Formats: sequence, C-alpha cells, structure tokens
Amino acid sequence: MTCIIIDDEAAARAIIRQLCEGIPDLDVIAEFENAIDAIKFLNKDEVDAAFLDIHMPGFTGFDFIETVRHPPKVVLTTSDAQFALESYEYNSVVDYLVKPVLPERFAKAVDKVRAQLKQKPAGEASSNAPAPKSGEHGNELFVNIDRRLIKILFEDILVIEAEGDYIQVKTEKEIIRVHNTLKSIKGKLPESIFLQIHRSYIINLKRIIDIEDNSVLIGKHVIPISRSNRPELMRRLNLL
Amino acid sequence: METPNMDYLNALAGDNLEFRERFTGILKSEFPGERQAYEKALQEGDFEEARLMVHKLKHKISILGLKKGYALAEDYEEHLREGRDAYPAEFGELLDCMAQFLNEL
Repeated sequence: MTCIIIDDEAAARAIIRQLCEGIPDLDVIAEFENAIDAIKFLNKDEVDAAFLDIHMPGFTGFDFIETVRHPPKVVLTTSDAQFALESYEYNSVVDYLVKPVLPERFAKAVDKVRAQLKQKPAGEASSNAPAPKSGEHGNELFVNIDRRLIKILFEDILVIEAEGDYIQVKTEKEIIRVHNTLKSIKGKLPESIFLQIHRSYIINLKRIIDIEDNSVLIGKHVIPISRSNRPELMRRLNLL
Repeated sequence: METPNMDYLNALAGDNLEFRERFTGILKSEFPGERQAYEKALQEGDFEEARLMVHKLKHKISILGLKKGYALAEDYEEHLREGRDAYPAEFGELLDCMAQFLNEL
C-alpha cells in the first residue's frame, strides 16, 4: 500500500512517517508541505492513501479534497476534533485522527484504508469535484467509434488534439481517436469549460495544472499556447 | 506550571535513537519560528494569523505532554477567533517553559 503525507508542519510529517514505518506493507512515496504540490503530484502519480492535515495556510485539506480529481483514500490529521463531522461528507475520507496521533489509533486508520481499498480499487475512487451544471450541452458527449456510441463526460476530457482528418480526445484514462474536425467538436463543447488555445488544441480550462511561458500543463500533457489565443486564455483565468 | 515531558516521543520512537534525535532536532528548529510568527501577528493585531499560529503551536504543546497548556491554547485559540486577546501573559509563560525545555534537550 502506498501513501503520501501532506502537512505544513515538519514535526507532524515526521510523526506520520515514523508511524508509517511501523506498518510493514505501507510505503511513504512522498511528503508535501503544501496541498498544491500534492495535487500536482497526484495528477501524475497514483497512491492508495493520503495522510492529510486540515489546517494549512492558503490551501486547506478540505480544499485539497475538493480539488484533486481522483483522490486517494484520505486520513485527515488535525489538532481539532470539531471538523470530524464535516470531514465525513467527503467520500474519500476514511478516518480522522486527532494530533498527536497515537500508534494504536494510527494502525486502526490504516486498517480502515486497507478495508476500503479491498472494496474499491484506488483507481476507481469517485471524484469529489462537483459535477458541472447542466447547460445546453448537457454534461457529456457521444462519439461514434466502430458503430458504437461512446459516452465521454466533459469533466473527464483534458485535451482535444487535431490529427489530420481525426481528433484525439484525451482523458486521464484513455485517448479516443475520432474521425472529426476540431472545428466541428468545438461547437459541441460548452464554452464555459473549453477553450481553443492553439490551432491544433482545445483544452479543458478546469483541468489546467499550471501555465508556464507559452505552454499549459494539463494532466501529463504540455500544450502549446499560440500567441493569438493567449490573451483570451489569460482573460478566462481567475488570476490573483 | 506543569512540566513538559517526552512520554509521547518515547512511545513513538521506542529504541529508535536516530528518529528520536531527528525529531527533537525538528522540534528545536521549528518551534522558535512558530513562536516568532505568533508574537509578530499579536503585535500587529492580526488575530487571525495569531490564531493560526496558536493552532500550530498546539500540536507541539500536546507532543510535550502539556495537558493544561493544551486546554489553555484551545481556549486562547477560540478567543482569538472572536478577535479577543485574552491570555497573552499566561500563554507566553507556557511558550517560555517549552523553549527552556527544548533548549535543554
């Protein structure tokens, strides 16, 4: 079983790591002192569990749970008991540990994670992200592949790339190749979520991880931004 | 005033001396910065920031087995949440006690 530790306090991370080392089949893959770095990590790598502090400056543990696309099983760690009820509103939260965490209590939490992982593989964890509101486009798109209509949820689409007479619809799990044009599919997508940022690429704005120079990182894909589309992209971002 | 102790660390570390040494090093290096941030926030009248720092210090208070200190910090955190600076002297004494204990480790 793999896990990550997210806590802005070094002492707290050291305690959780020490407790993890006491569990033979539990491997700590990484530690993070803020939730943003953990989200970036989870967009590229999967783990079974996350030991997550609630109180962190800027981006809290709850913000993390609401933001990460496919959250691992989460064990919350906090110095307050007052958030216990709220925490269980999130599907991914398995247990709630009050600091300082005792070894016996930690072992129970790990047992709970293990039991839940047996019920449902980690990769199939349900998202905590709110479903997009239904608009004129609904929430999904059906594409014709080998005479079968395959449903793709808008929220699952990361990038759509033009490839000659075809387009590639890229999700986290798969790439679906469809005989169509970017112009045609663009009309089927909600403008509130999708934006063409290059003549060959339409991206899901909600799935942007970061923007650097003239490229956008979405999932594992680095997508170029054309000069003419850059102003519109910047306008659509909620910049601080 | 109650005395800090290493009961929690002893239970956690067992005979793992390497962890014990590393962990006390973390406590010693992290505590002064948190205290400083708390005091700065208090001086500036930033009660919300002071509350966040008290919350963070609360963990270390509990690690050092200070049960009364923990209850004091909980009350103080709540007062700061309401914008009231209620226990600065008493809380300051608690932090002094912790600082002295950590310095002697």
